[in-house]
Amino acid sequence: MQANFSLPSELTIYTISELHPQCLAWAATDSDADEGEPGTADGLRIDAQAVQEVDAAGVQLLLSLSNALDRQQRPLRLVRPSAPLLAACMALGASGLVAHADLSGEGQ
Amino acid sequence: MNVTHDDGIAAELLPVFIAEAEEQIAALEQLLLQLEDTPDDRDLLDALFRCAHTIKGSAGVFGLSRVVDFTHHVETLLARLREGQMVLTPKLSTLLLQSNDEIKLLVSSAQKAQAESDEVVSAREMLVQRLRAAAGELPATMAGPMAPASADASSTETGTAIRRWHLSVQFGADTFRHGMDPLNILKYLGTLGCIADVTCDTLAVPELESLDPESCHLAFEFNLDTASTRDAIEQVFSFVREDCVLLLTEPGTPPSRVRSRDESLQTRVSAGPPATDRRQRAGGTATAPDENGFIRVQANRLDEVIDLLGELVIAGAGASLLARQSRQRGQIEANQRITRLIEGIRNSTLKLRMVPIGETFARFRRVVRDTASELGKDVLLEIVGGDTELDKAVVERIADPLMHLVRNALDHGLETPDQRLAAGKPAQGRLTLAACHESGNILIRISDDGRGIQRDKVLQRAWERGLVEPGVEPPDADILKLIFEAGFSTAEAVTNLSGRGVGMDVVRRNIEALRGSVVLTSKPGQGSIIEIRLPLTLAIIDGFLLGVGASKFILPLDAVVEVIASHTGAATAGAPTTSEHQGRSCVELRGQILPVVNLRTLYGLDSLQPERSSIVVVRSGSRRYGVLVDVLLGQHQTVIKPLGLMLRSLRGISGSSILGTGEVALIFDVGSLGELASGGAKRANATHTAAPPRMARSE
Repeated sequence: MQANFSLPSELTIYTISELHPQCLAWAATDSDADEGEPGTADGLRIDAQAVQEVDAAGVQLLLSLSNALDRQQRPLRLVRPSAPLLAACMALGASGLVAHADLSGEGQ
Repeated sequence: MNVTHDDGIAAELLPVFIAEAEEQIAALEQLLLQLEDTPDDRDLLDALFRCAHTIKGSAGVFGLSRVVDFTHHVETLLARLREGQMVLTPKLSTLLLQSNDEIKLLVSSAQKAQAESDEVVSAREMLVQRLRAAAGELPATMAGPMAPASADASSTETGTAIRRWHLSVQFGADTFRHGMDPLNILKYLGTLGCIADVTCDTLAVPELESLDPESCHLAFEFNLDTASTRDAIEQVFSFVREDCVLLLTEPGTPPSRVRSRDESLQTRVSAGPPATDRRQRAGGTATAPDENGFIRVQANRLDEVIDLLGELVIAGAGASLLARQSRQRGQIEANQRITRLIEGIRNSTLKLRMVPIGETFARFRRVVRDTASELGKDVLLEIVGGDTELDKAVVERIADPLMHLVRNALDHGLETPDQRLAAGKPAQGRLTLAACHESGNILIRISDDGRGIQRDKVLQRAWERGLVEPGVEPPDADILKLIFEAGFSTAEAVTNLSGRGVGMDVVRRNIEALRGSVVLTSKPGQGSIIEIRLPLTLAIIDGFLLGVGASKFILPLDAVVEVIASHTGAATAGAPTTSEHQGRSCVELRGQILPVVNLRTLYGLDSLQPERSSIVVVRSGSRRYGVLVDVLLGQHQTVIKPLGLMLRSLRGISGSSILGTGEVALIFDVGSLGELASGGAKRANATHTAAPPRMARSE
């Protein structure tokens, strides 16, 4: 199953300002566009395999995006999160971000 | 520093870290050397420990694990010394100095992420083993040599039991903007022990719409299992102490949470002074002075200002010239005000570049220590006037020649203890580095109480090398000067220290390239003194503008003593003698003979000698001489420009300057012009009587 969107390779304080409007746009997309049955939506799938550099600012933005999506009953699903992203999320106690991650990229 | 933004904030701040670490490393070395004299000084030991600890701490924030790992071992040993469990022996001191060199190497290679060769790694491992051996048995909880900073040295006071701390930390909104990354801080904290149960307060992160992604809203709770002390844990947060609220709960007490931000701001951890200076520097906000009142500025920015200032001085001179020509009072006054302000800016700006020479001198402590012990000599290094200030560019370029002269004094000048005792001198030799200001110059004096320079040996060598006609004996003062001639070396055996192809002639050339001079005096059996005179700055000086015919010359104002009137013929009465052909003559000034140099004759200027002229009396070192000129044009702010290739061989001239009119004036080198005046450079001036060409400003 394809991801709707994808994260850039750098998710740090330097790129965060460019990424913020994108996140807003992603959160504003119609949940019907998500893959899967409407209502039982699989969530917003974001391809995260390209992320090579990530810092706390990057994780914070993802947390904020995740919170916004949660309010829409629409979990954030990171697809194939890269090792640096996984490590950063774990180290910062943001395991919720990767709890629903689709590690294989195959979907459910 | 060519670090691109893409490399992340850490990379951008790395140069700041390296500069700071280098200061700490230099301080460490100085402290170690001082400790050799007073091994029990608690304050020194404390300072030493702090240096190592600071290097380790900041290296950790930047993720420089090699530096952290290695420095940790040094720190452990230092902690033992500080606790009084060991005494600093010379052997230990040498080991620590070597380790300090290794830290220096590691820090300087921090910017290159290249892999190290096995050789380097194993050499370091050897040092680590020696450090560990020296520190005695390592605590049992530390497994393996690479166990990271888990046994922070200060933990020795409480033993090494691992305890569980609860941390609650809320990072301030500006954390990211100050270049700090909570991720790195937590990672570094992990090197102290084991972090468990990290939870991030995700609800504290604002709504996506209202989120300022560059503000930090992160707060964490976690447990840390470590043997480190509270101080050591807090140290990790020292870079963000101002920005963050940290609650560190003692093991055994129930964890408490950071409450609302406002409330908890009142309960900030107050251990130690807030690390404001560190944060501001590390954050790159170089505009706010730290507690010591220092601002770090990149040298090239300063150079840029000074370049612009030079142009401003020239442009200002042009403007005030036009104002004078306009004869409009208001305009003239306005320009005078501007000129005064420019002068003020010039003085303040040039002061920015001034640094004390003491730092350079202090570097020699180590050289003297190592070199003396290598040669089996006992030498005491004395430093006088280390706070004398001079231009940073001069300091940097004088360091190598000084190093050579110090090594020479150690190698050739000072004797071994046996030889000294035999000569009726104390066994310990004495080497003195002194600096002071002297009429617009800085005077650096290197003196030793060694065997001095053997005049006969020098003469013999000069004959052999063909520097002097065999059999001819120049005056004593000239014999010593021969040492600075190219192709001269008195070392009987080429030792490891001197005789490495860098002769005294290179030293002299380097000093002369800085518009300086070097003079050597020596008393056989009692020692030698080398005096180096250098201009305080290479950029702008206060000059005294003179005119001869259509040519303009500038004397450094500090060198001018007085001006006396001269009537044509007074100095050149009667038939011209040989010396008068060369522009030399004498006048009597208050009962003393004053040698006078006639610029018109010296440089072959083809204009008529006017009826009235002036003699400017100039001081050069201990000598005085006169310069015969047509007109005195007054004080002039002189921006020094280098001489073109063609004019570089011109005797007595050190540089050029552009006047407000666009004319070029030549700046005198007071020292070598003095030689011309007193006839000390007969050989040279015959070949350099070319007229200084009249140049227009070419741009």
